[in-house]
Amino acid sequence: MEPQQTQNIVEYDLPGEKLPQETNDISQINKYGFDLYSKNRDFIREKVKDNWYAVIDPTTGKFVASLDPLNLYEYTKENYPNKLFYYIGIIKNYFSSSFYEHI
Amino acid sequence: MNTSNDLLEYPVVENFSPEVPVEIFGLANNTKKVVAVVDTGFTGFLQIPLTVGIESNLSLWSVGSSRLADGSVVKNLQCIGKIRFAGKELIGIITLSEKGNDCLLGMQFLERLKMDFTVSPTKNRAIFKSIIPKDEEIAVKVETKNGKNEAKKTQKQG
Repeated sequence: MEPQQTQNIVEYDLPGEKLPQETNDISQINKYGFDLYSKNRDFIREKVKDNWYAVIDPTTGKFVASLDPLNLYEYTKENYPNKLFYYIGIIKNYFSSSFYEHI
Repeated sequence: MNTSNDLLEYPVVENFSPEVPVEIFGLANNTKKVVAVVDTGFTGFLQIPLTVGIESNLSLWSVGSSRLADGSVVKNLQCIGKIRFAGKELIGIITLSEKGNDCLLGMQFLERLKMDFTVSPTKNRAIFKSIIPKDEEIAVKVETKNGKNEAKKTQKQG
């Protein structure tokens, strides 16, 4: 999981089961995205700074994070067009991994 | 509404909900005006009903889930969006809710707004007050300068 860093963006390829094909099914994106996040939770907490926004592409396992949400949005739209990402939220190492409390 | 550069006051409605007007900007730079409740129990930026998101022409970006106050978990959609409040334009993640008709401004909004927020039940007012960091900056500079001077003196004496 070597990082790629581009202008305040960090990217990692997360190991784990991926979504077999592109879909707009929210339940499937949530399921696979959350599973990838859960299996790599400790790694993400270790590598990503507090207050960074983060998303996962459940079909490739690509994890992308940035301090600036607009920067993250524009980067993902440019590099991974027509994708619907799994939104982790804001990384909060001291409390929880995100402002969303995942089960 | 009472406004100045540093102080904004809005009336609090009957159920003590602090409601404020905001404008949401879509992809075509069209704007949608809504009234949103400031909810300090909501940790996100802005939550709006799905229909409002469609009317605002927001671009769907991601999906996620969140836990509600009653413990239930709901799936939702997220867009990136810009809002205007009190002359300030702020960018953040806008959550689209399939349930409910309320627009909620959360803690991320307050953090990005850089204003303190209080509700006065006695005055029936929601009050936004600018955070003025100038005094803090001066204090830090003075402290740093003094610290360096003291350090130099200590070195000379030693």
